[in-house]
Amino acid sequence: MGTASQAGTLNAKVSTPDGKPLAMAVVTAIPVGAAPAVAKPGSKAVMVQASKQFMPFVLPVQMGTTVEFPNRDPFRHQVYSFSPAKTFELKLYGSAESGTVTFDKEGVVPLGCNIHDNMLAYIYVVGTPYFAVTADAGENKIADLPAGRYTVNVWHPNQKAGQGQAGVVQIAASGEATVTVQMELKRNRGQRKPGAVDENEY
Amino acid sequence: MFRSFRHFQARLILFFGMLFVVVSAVTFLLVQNAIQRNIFEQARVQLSATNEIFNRRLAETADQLAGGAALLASDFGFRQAVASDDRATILSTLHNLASRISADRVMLVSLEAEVVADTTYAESAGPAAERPFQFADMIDTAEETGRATATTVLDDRIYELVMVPVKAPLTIGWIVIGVESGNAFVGELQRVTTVPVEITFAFQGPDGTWNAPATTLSAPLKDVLLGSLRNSGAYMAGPALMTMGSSDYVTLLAAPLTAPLNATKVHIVLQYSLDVALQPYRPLFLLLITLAGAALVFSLGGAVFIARSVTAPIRRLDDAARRIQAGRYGEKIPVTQHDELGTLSETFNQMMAGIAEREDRIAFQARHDSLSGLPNRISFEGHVADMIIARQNTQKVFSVILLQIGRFSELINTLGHDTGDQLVRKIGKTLRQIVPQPNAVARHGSNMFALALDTDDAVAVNLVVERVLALFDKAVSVAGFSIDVTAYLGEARFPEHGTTARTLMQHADTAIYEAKQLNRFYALYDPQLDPHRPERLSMMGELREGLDKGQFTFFYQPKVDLSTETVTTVEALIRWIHPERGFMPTDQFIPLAEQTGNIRRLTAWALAAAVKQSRAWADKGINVKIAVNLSAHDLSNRHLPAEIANLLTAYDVSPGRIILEITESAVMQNPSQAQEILRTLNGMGLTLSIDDYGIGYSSLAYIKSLPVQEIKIDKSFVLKLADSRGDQILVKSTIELGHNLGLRVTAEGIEDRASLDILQNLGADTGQGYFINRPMSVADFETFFTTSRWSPHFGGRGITGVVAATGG
Repeated sequence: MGTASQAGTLNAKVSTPDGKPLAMAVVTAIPVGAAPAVAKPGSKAVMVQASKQFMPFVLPVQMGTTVEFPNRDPFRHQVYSFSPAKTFELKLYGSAESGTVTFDKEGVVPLGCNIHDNMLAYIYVVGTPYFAVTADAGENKIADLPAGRYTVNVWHPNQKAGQGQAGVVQIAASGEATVTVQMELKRNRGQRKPGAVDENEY
Repeated sequence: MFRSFRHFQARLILFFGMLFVVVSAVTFLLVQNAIQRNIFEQARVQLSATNEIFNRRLAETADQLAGGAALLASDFGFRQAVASDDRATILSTLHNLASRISADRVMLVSLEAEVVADTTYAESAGPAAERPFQFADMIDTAEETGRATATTVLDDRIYELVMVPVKAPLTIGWIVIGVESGNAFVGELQRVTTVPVEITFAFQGPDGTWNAPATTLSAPLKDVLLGSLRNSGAYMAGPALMTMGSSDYVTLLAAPLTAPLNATKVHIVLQYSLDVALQPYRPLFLLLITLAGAALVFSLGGAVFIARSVTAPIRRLDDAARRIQAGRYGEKIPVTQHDELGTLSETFNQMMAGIAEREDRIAFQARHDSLSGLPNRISFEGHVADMIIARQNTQKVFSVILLQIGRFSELINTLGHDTGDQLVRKIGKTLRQIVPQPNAVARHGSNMFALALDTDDAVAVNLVVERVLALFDKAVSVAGFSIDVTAYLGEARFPEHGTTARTLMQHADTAIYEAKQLNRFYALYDPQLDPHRPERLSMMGELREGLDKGQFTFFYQPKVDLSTETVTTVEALIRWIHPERGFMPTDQFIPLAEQTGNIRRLTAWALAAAVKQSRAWADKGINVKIAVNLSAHDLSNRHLPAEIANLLTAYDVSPGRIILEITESAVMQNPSQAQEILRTLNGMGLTLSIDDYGIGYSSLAYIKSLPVQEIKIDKSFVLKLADSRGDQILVKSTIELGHNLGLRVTAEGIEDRASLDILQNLGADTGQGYFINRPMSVADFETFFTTSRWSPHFGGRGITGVVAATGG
């Protein structure tokens, strides 16, 4: 996003308090003092439905981004969300069909499928262009950060409330900063692990 | 006795009966106890199982409810309504769900644990105000596990509650579905149980009281149960027996159903009626009771049988003892048993036989003489009585003969008892040989035998009499002795001499007396000679009357001094002139008077009369002594000397003027006493004379020892003195001997001059007899005394006689 000579890198490491790397955590860096920023027009993202799963499980987008919901299954899905950030319903679109929804408000939008109760995914709408999702190792890297001060937040769908403020970091030009965040999760038995397949479903 | 048998029987029956009842009761109780314990255990198992079933059933219900709830929770419209907080729609949807899945109550609880919709409120009423949901921990459970189930009390009703989340797709609220556990519910539960169980859902309110909104019990029983639970329910660890109404229930207060924290806990109370449980055992109990009853009857029957088997033989023994008492030994006791009673019965039989044998022996001894073995007098009387009875119609003649052995006591005294016994045995044996008919010969007394001759043939009787008498013709040889035995026989004949055994034997006895009187050895009874004849007895009354009325007088027979031929003495002879019968011979009443004791009166009269006459004659100058006869009985009268002395004093008569004449047999009857009395009389100066001398057994030597002055030779020696040379010798020697002993000798029965001369020649002192004169009245004698040739007034010879008389 900025020039290479000016850009810095933020490394984040997210784990549970007992040291397990935490994947699927969204790390955002918001320039200190900056108002929420809307994405450039035409920004797009994709939330695929395949094998009765949303892919990816967590999709962070900047405000104003239009997300496409392509159906790769041979049967229908009916994607909805009753979240205050974005309430919508994409009805009865079949295989190879696709619908689009533009998310214009910051917040968490849990996605469900009216047909398949177990399908769940989150679209995390943020007001900054700087964000990244941790990989399985619980690490991610936000590159091309202009030098400056950033408020760093971490969000995870299963997190216990009152967490996620990682603090403010100074990013030097061509410099690198690393934040390490520990995040406590809700006990999660009722909900399916991301990526697990319900064999009895079909 | 009989009563005590019954007591024994009753005791035995009582014992067996009670024993059986006790054993039966114990058995019954043990069986019942075992069955009850078994049932209790079964009930416990059943109740636990039932409780499990109910819990499963509740779980199933919860699953169903959860299914329904999940369905609703996944309904897009509902989720949309919840997400958009459209409460009217939510309530409407909840009502719809309640009716669809037959839930009693459905609520929606927000994530903030507020009840935002509740089907308790009607759709039309619109959304009610939010209320906090009481059971917060249900939410935690549902959040963690996706579902929460609880049974608890809500608004005083018991609900099974299921809570599931409403997801869109994240949880946006909670649906709570409740099924009320009411009477209908427990009724339904009861129907699915395999055993009859009373089901109650009960809970304890905050105030400690128990409530049971759901129960299969009737209202009264429910109250009883709740009361019991209040008292002990909280402490009921396991199944307990609880009495409710009229029956017992095994009661299980199950562990409380799953309930939220701090919520009212609901218990299932399961009750199993023992009555119902015991129902299958009823036939068994009935059988037991029937068996016990039958066995009781049998055991009582057995007791009766055993008692009878004891008492019946004892009764038989009792009867036998009574028979023994009554003297019947013939009937034996049947010995049917081989036990102690059988042995006792045998012993009884042996005892009866022994008693019978002994009694026979005693009876034999009672009826027989032990010495001779012959029947005794009693037996003989019975035999004769039998013979008389046998002749009641025919009156056929038979004879009873008594045999008396003369001088038997002398024989025994001389020869000893052994010899006497042998003599009796020998005579008895011989008599049996002569009269062999059974019971015909008996020993009648110590010296008597009795014969019963069953014949009316006088010749045959005489033959027997002769054969018997012939036994004693010669000396009987016994124990080396040759004994001269005299036997007297007396015979009496039925029916002529008596119609009773006693009479016949008395008369046979009298016949012996008569035989002796007649100097014979045998006599047939002669009523004329019988001193016991009734008219003789009545004569004694007349005798006493005659004495009083002066019917008695003396006749006097003179006794003449043979040397001077003058009267010196008279013998006073009693004459009884009976007013009707006239003159009574002395031998008709003197022996009778002696036998009946009247002789004393007669003697008293005679002595008084003689003394008075002596006084009278003395006054008239008639100088004769008066001789009075004394009887043997008089010599046993110790008062006799005094009586005579009184008379002599009273009439002032010299004792020398009275002579007392005694027969020698009279002295012999009681020699010592007689001698004493004689000595006294002699001492008084009275002259004593032995009368009828020569026909007795006494010797002169014996008479010499007596204080007598005179003997009178019996007239039997004098009557034919002139013609009998033998008599002359006897009289001569008697006179000589008497004189030698210093005794005067008088001869009686002088009937002719020749005899008088002989006696004079022989030196007899005095004489008496018809030749001189018969007995005379007083007047005749007085004439005789003065005018006869024997009068002392004739010549000097008479003076000598007087001198002689007074000097004697």
